[in-house]
Amino acid sequence: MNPLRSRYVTVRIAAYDSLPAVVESETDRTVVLSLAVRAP
Amino acid sequence: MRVECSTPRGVQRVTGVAHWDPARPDELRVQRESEELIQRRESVRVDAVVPGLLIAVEGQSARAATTTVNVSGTGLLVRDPLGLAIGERVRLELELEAGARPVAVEGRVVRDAGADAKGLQFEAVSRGDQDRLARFIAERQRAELRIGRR
Repeated sequence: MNPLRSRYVTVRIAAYDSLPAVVESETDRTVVLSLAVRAP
Repeated sequence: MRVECSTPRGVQRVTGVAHWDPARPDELRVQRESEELIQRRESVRVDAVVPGLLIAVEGQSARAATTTVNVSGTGLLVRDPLGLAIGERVRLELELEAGARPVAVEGRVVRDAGADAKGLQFEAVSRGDQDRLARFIAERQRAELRIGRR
């Protein structure tokens, strides 16, 4: 698996709106996202 | 569920299973199952008037102040005071934040949108500037969603 190319991502979950998120950490198997995206 | 981010080449998409722990409500842990790079434009495009400097890379390196019409992670629509031709290579320095270093993108004119507007497709953006663009787009998208819910 390739690392995500940006820390700032969009999460898409069926039946929900898309959500902005930030990649806190990632490995080949797991991505940990923070949904508490703060305004710049 | 899917996790997506914009890149100059398209959208990078990771598909997997999400695990949410009520003890950590702001955190989502995603078990990766597959990954793909979608070459076509599928990234979020937000309306945004961002001031910047448009520079024609080829020829006499003409330059002019401009503003964007909309912005995505893979390209944008920009006012074109230089009369650029389809296929022409350009550099654009965008003032996303007042007082901060401009975001620099290099790309090519891919569309004539009329009314002096040209569509640019990004070909080279640094990782740092890509992150700043993505953050800007995400914030604009969030603002649009907030307005839409009122």
